[in-house]
Amino acid sequence: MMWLATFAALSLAADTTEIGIPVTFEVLDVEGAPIPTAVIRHPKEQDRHRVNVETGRAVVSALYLPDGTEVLFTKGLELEFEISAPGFQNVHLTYLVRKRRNLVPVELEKLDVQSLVGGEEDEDPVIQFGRDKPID
Amino acid sequence: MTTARRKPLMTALALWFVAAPAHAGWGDFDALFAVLPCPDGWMACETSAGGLSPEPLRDGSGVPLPADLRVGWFDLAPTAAFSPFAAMAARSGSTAPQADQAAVAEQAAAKAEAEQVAAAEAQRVAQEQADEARRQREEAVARANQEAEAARRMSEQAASASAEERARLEKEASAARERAAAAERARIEAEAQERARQEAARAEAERMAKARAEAESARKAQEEAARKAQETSAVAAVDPTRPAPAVSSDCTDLTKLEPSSLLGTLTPGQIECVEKRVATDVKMTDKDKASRLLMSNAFAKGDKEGWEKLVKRHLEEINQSDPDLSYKYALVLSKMGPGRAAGVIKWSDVALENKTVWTGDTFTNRVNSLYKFRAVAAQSLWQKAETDFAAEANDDKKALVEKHRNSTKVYAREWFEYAKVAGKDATQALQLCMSAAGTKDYCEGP
Repeated sequence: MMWLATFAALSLAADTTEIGIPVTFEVLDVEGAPIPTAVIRHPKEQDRHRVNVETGRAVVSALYLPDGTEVLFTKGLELEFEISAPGFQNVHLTYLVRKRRNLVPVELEKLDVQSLVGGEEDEDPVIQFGRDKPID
Repeated sequence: MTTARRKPLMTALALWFVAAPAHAGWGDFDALFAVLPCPDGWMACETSAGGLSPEPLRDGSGVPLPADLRVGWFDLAPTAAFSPFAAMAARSGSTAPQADQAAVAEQAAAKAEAEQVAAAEAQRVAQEQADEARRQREEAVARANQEAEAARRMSEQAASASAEERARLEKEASAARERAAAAERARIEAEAQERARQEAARAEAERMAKARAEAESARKAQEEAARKAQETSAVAAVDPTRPAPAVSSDCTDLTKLEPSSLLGTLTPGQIECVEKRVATDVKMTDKDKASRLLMSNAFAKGDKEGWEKLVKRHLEEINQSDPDLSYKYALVLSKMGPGRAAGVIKWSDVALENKTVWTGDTFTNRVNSLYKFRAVAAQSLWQKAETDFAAEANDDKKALVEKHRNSTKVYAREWFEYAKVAGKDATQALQLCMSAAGTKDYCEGP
């Protein structure tokens, strides 16, 4: 019984160390598939948080700003995030941190710029034979 | 003149006669009283013609005359002072006593002194009058000079004012002439461009018609040749000793080969000959022409792989200055996926270096397309690097991801900025830029 009380006391002491509330981002494409190359970034933070390749999820509980400030997520904290991935449109969102169950699903739309190449705008010039005027 | 008008004049003359003596003083009659009328310089004397004193003489008519006048003013008769050599009359009477002589001498001295004082006074007055006259003259001269100077300044101001006005008018006229000339130039250029466009369209239509005709004739020739070949083979089958017809592989005149190259119908012999010219011609312009023939032939034949090799050789070894060619090559490569993305970026850059060859809409469209090719190619490289990194994370792949992401960011921003300025749709460019940068702030700039 004495051992049990000691374990409980130690557990409480460990809980008092400061940690932020974890916020989980889940980045998916329009079909619901995780985007393995997505990153999450706070506008003032230089580091980008990569998602898990398999799940498309990233867990963030604190921000580390360039001036050395550590911003721990707390209840009621309003945060801005930009989620991007190569080949997808950027998403900017604001999230209010709750006490628990902070799961933020993000859906990114495909950015198909490759299909833009070779369109009507892209003229296909006729290669001349090195003269100003073609021969009649 | 009427009596009414004459009456005031007469009244004025009468008043003048009455009033004039009233204005005269004793000073006006100084000339009538000669102080020393005698010929020997005395004040009074007796001459053979009579006595002389400062008292005025009277001529035959009784008119008073100055005593020193030698002849009468009105009758010209000689007066008592006529002859300067007239002997003086002997003086009678006693000599004045010494005291009287002293008094006379004193009076004479006083008189002389008075005369000297008067002379000095007269000299002083004359000097003052001369000074005054000189001062007035100098003032007049100075005034005249000032007036002349003012007049000169006014004339200069007037002249400068008129010069400024003239300059302003000339400037306005010059600006108007320049505007008119610019408008005329613009009109001429627009006409020239329109003519060039029409000419190009006509030439293109003719070229297409000619190409169609040549294709038709070539088809017929091929059919004919095939028919003849069948006949020849038939004949050869019958007569194996008959030689095959010779095919001309001359490429001395490259211009004559252009129609065939446009149709992709250059014979292997002609291609070999042109290839030799590319390799052996000394002048780069000749190499350029020969290389263009080969490229055109390969493109018309649909030999994209061969065309790509020829274009690459042309651009790398012969000439990079044709932006059309670099652009076309970049366009073709951009459709070949991420594997050719590096080439797309390289040749887009080369074409952009020579973009000044283009004008008008051609310039705008092609420059926008080149920026797009580059950004899209960089994005495909970035995407591939991200996928590779996701599959196997290591520092090298992470560095490669950052490199391509940064390239995409930079190229997409350049595309966005140009599209925005050129009036093109910049939506995709902005999305691509934001995708790479992760933030809108970087792409839209300050």
